[in-house]
Amino acid sequence: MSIKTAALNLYIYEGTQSSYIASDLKYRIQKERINSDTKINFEIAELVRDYIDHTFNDDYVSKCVWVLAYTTLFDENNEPYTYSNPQSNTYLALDGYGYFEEGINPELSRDALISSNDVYLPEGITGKLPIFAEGVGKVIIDSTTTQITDNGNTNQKIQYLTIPSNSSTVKVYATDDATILKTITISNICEPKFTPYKITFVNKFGVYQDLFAFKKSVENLNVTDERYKRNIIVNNTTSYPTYSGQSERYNVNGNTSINLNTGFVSEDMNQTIEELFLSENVWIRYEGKTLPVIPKTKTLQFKTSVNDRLANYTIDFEFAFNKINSVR
Amino acid sequence: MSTKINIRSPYFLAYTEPSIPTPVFDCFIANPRNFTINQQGIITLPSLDYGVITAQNADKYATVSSPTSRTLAITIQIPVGFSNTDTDGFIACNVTATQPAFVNGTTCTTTVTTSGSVPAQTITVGGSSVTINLASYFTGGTIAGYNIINEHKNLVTTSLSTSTLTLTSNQIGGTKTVYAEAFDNTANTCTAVQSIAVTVNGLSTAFNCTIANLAGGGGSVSQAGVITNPQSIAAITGISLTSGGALITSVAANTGSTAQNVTLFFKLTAPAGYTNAGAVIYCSKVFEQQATNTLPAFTCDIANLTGQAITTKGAINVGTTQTGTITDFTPISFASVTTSTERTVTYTVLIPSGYSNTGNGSQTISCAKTLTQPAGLADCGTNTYYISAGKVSPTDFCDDTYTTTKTLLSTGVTINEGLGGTSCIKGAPFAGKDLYYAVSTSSINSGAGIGVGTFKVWQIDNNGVITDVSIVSCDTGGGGSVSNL
Repeated sequence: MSIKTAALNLYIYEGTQSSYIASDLKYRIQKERINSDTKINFEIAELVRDYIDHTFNDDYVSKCVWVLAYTTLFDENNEPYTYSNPQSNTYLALDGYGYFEEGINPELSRDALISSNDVYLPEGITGKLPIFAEGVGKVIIDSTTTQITDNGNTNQKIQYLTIPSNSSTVKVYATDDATILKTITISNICEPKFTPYKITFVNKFGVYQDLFAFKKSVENLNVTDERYKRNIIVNNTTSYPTYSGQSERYNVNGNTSINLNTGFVSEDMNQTIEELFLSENVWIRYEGKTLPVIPKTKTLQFKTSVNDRLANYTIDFEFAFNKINSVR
Repeated sequence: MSTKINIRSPYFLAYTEPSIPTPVFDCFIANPRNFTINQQGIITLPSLDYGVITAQNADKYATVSSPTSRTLAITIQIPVGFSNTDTDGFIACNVTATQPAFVNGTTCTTTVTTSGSVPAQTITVGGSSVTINLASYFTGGTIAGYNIINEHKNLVTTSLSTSTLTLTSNQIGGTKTVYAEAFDNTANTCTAVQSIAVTVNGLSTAFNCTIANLAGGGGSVSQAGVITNPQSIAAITGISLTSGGALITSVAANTGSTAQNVTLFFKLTAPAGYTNAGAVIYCSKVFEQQATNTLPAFTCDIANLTGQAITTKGAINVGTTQTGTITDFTPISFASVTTSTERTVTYTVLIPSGYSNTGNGSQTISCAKTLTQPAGLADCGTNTYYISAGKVSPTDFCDDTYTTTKTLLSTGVTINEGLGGTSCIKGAPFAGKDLYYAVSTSSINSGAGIGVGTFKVWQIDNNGVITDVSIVSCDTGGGGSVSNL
């Protein structure tokens, strides 16, 4: 007998897969099949996304949630099916995205959660490598092996491995500890002149990825204000002080922006730059603080070794707050 | 292993009419039952809910002087419609029965005995017959009839007319034994059994690997290297890695990272009836041997918990799994609820062998299942009262004197305050059938009816709800007066 109705209970929670409780039920959705269709579809990504909040403070915390879709199916008589019903499916949701070409419901990488095979770090500085713990058995950084364990908790599903300073190669292995899934080359950049800035952004896989801008940086201040004309006449003396302005400013504030240059990077970094441009969450490590920024640059011309020989990307960022504290 | 989804892109859940699951055929589903053994050691094969018994490791046991437990290994052909029909083909199950003692003069009295032995019978394949006059092979007593025990109906069929047994060949060759049992109708007399070896021959073809049909006979090689033989109409007498090679009993475990194909050669003895009867032939079959990390991980989806439920009282029905064994669940129970409530029960499932996470055989996974606990009544309360038998009308108590001895719990703090409250007996709502019950706070020196004076009654519906509270006074003439409280 054809399906008529599907009643979806969507539980969203952190912790281990089976640790949900009644209060984790976030949505109840009931949908009827359109007569000409054979399936009932629910789009849940937007619903789940409300429950991942990126609060990055240079702490690299695993941000993902379990999603339990508990669906009861009813037949044309509005009776629940007596077999294969209800249907319970659990997913691990990350704030990532797929490209159009990757089709519907992309799962993406289940090992190293960065696209490029190159990482640029300043000399003497450690880095972070995000991995999906379920799909990785071990990681060898140069000759040091790190076994990856996963206790099933969401706070361990995404792990940020520390890349020791001046490392050269990272090899990510499958859970069989034998199959190499990704090899990442670490370039340690000596930059004696400029101050490298670390940009951290939520990449395509929904995890925090670092990108260093090694070269020239320019900081700008863009001020906004409003004005009004005031009457400065003193009636008693029928005069006005010349030290009082006829025009006054108010609502003065400013936005700081910073122009950064990556320095010469390989063509392989195009994907990383693209993901930075497409990120909704970007931070800069600036004067000892992690500050939110918004990429101002809206267009990106990909550089290739054939066309450009050497690729340097210049990106403008605007600090995501007013210069004068106006937080109320 | 969880399914990772990326929620900056849409993620669609699609639901369609659920398909009836095809479970793994196992002994539980086959459900062999009614396996019996009589005093003579003759077995009656068990009947099955599903599948067909294709082989067993015994047709008859020797008689015993004391009751003896016997375990019969049977091979069952998996019927279509199960997930392992094509992959396994057959399963092996054990059934157990107790063979009763046979002690002449004690367990039964011997009247009928065998007379000589029935010669071996040879029949040409393809429907030929031979007849045997069973009366010639039994003597003594007054033979009332015969039972024919034939567990090899694919080889030979039997029919009995008075004392004439007809054996008719089918389309396959081979040698098997059928049994004839003579019995006397006198009470508690012993039966006598003759075995009849039947050979069906005359096949014009030689037994070969096509006829052996190992391909359709199931079998497997586990990751650890354990070999399970396929089924064949020929006896498998050995296994080797090459045709005619050294015999083995197992192969090396696959410790690599990928599954591998293992070719095994089975040493078969051509059955009787074929032109090459008794000859040894080798037939090969390729098995896929999984590696440790290519074995599928046992998951809750594979376990496929079914039949779990929560009662109105909050008790949990453990249900069953399609694969694996439920060893525990938590919590043990829930409190009753007044509205239908979703509950989460976490079941611990023992991982069976053959999965990447089987481990040492004691590994388990936790499977959470959301169940709906139906609404029960509100709290039964803690106030104890005693009620009488029920009456249709309050004044019906006035035809006699009634005791109030049945214990009942109610939410009513006093009898007068019982209206609208609930009442329970033994933890369950009391189905009062809308009758009136005399109610008291004591089971002694209390009651209702004539000579009691005034007493109180509750009307209780089928849900245990107290719908009326009245005070009754009986007249001496058998009538009474009722006042609602």
